[in-house]
Amino acid sequence: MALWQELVTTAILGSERQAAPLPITEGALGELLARLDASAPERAVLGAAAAVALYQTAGQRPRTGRAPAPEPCPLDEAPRCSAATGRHLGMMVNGERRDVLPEWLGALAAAGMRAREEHLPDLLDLGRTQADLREMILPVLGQRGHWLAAQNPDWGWVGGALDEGVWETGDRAARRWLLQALRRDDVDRGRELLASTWAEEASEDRAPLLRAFQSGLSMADEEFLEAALDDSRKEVREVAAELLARLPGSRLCRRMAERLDRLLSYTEGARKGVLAAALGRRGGLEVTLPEECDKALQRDGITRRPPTGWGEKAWWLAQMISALPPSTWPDAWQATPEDLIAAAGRNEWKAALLTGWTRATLLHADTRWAQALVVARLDRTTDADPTGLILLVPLEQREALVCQALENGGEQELGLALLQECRHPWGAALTRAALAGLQRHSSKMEWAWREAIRRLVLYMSPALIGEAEDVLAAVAAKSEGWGRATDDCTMLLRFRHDMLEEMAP
Amino acid sequence: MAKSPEGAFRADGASQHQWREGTATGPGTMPTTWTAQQVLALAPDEKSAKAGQGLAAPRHWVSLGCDDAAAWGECQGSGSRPYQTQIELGEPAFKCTCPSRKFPCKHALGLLLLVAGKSSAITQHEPPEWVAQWLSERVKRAEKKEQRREEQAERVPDEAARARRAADREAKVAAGLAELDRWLCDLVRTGLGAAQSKPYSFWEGMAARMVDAQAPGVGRQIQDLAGVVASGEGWQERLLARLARLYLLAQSYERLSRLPDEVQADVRSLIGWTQSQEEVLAQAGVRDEWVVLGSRMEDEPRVRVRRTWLWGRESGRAALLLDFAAGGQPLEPGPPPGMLLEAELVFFAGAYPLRALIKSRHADLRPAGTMPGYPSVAAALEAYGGALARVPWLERFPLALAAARPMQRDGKWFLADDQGDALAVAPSGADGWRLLAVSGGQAVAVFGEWDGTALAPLSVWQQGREDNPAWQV
Repeated sequence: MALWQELVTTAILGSERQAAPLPITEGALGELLARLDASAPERAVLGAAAAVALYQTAGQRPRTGRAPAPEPCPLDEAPRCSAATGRHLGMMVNGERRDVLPEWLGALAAAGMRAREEHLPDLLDLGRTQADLREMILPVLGQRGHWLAAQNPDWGWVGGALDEGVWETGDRAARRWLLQALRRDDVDRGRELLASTWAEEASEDRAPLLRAFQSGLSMADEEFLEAALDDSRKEVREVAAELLARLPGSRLCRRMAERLDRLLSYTEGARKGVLAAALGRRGGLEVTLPEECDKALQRDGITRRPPTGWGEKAWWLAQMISALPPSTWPDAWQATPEDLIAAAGRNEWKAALLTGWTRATLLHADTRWAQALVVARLDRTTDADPTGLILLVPLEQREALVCQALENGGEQELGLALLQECRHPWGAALTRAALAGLQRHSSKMEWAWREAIRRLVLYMSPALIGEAEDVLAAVAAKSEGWGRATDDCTMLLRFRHDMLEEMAP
Repeated sequence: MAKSPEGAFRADGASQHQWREGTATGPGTMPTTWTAQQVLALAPDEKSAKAGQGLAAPRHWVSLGCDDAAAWGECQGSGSRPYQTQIELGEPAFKCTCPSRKFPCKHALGLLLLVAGKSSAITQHEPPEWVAQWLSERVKRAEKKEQRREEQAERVPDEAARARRAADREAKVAAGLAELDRWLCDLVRTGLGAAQSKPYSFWEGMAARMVDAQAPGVGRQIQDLAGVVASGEGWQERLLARLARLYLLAQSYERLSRLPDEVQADVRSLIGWTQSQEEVLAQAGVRDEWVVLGSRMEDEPRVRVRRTWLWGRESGRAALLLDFAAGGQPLEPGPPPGMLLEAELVFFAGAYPLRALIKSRHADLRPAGTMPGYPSVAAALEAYGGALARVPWLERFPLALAAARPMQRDGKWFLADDQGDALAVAPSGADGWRLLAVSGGQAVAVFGEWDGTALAPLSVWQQGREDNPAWQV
């Protein structure tokens, strides 16, 4: 409104500098303005401003115009979670007890419920910034969540349809996300897409993108990867070699198998078990170290320089062994992994053998070998580090093995280290073993336990909350320094307990 | 050493009612069984709540006891002697020997949490000397207070003294507003452009002078101006509008006797006179079924305020309940949004009466189910115009839309009715997306506070939901 604008201008400049506008206007407003006190210019301005401002506010018309409204969302079938459960989520979204969020998401999905509508924007924002939570958030979004996400480009991570245009125009992170998504849903297309632009890709982009081939890896990728072994960038060659090692039928694996065939052999013992031990005829490994690390070997991913403490040739052997799936050996030699591990333990090159097999187990995710290696470590047949391997052992046996480690008083460090690898909801036995370990811990282990307990409490079985609180109280009573830690732990455990109880049908 | 804080849940004489669903009126009937959530709701702030939870472990307490009426304990703090904490459960009322100014302190919260959790560490059941003494003192004090109140009611008021005090105040206010008038004229004469560079003390100083002149309402408005100057694009317009409204107020006071009674009441209460609650309660009220539309809590420098908005189903009028809590004290629980309050309300005088007190309640709270509201944006704005015509200084108008769809335009959020008219939603970030999520693209009933430019949503209601409102702020 022109009059208002004039008044504002006058007021900004100051009525002594700018003459007040004559408030002449028609109708009732004009009459009112004419009656105002104009004895001083500033009064005229203030008075008119009061009247005109009111006039505008009281008489305002709403914004009009039909903007395209989104299609209403179809109704959800899954029930929404209770208000109390929603409050728990509200706390976690606000930053308190964020560690428990994955458990909340998992439990809600398992209960077949969805998040409350008012929390959807928070969950969608969370998924945008924390990619590791995305898989867990998706199941609890419900129809409403997907519908909502479709309307905000920030929440595109939810979308089912993949926009390949991103490959051309998107930034590094977006392209990587697209490739990963394609490798899940349409592997061939993913490979095609990368192959099409491979030559033009920036050198620092090639390795991360190639790593996406981890999912959906198959022999169809072999040719591309074999070619990548000759890439100019070291990182790319390393990724390619690692991926090819996972394809037992690949040329790299075949080459490696040929080489190792010449270097390793196993003679079966005539008898097994006690008899064999007594009679001294157990299986034995014959090991020949590789002579040289030639270009072909390096191309296949073997590094020349050993880490400190390793001899060159032993290092090369270890790497070569790690390239092949560990299941190759029992197949080739008709022996069990336990026999081979025991044999390795008696061999002079046991470090190379066991390191190689451990890495191979990890690379190829061989659960049989993982279990065998962990058991061997707990029985002190070997001294290889089992912390990486324990995750490959199936849950049930895993818990049993960790319980075993914890119960062994002489191996407290190992027990705690393995326990910390168990990042899944624990069963009753493991919870009890952990609590017992906590209670019995030596003064040497005090600092380690105190650091660890805050995270461990996230996994303890909430059904045993009574026992846990007792143990925590007992530990706190023992020494001063524990006070704070145990308070936090008790509260966290109680929160998890209440949260899960609320969701129970 | 600072006096140990003690207090009870009696903000004013009228709010003795309990807001638990299904419980009837009656003073002091707090829940007999406490849940952790209820206890934490008493905490004055987040930090206290957390600290209280931390102390809810038996290892901190040297002794713990509880009987039907009270709970007590001795908490080992950092000092040499443990703090003695006690709670009278009926009110609840707290007392603790710790030096904290917070209320209730973290020891009281911890103790009450232990009681709520029925901790096995609570071993005593006979109150020791220091608890029994406090409880009996409280009883004596309550009796004395009742006695004094009766005496005061009977006492003949000293009319002369009262009239003198009133005249003094009128003179002070008149002088203060005259000064305000000059100050406003100066600002406009020299120009608002210079206002942006004025220091905070410029506004604060004038506000203080108004408070000194016994016009605290005006002081508060001037305090707000500092924020307007810093509010970004368009601040000059907003500042001018506010200054003009203050000018209008000052001018109105000059001509007070010539204004209609209701307008006089508004002018006085804006300046800072308070109407006596006893007098208001003595009037005849409006009995109706009042839907609790929504509520909002705000923290001001020394006081916490809660606005609860109601709508009378029969009378078709809005009402506002104001609850205050000073200095870290917890707010008394109020009627939750979504409920139906059958009560007689008495309104404070004014040209568009909104603020009310509950004179009496007639039934338990029950869910309201649906929310009443204007059928269209146009109707809502017309009602707003009418209200503004009666009270030009109206800051918050209760605006309920019976059916609106949240939508976005150019990055701003609106609520549109089926005619295509839309109201702007106050920009507070996620609110727009939350509204959209709750509505699911369907029309929903929305209630909020309208300030003339934008609507700040306080609750969203959805057809057919049992737990309406579907969302509240």
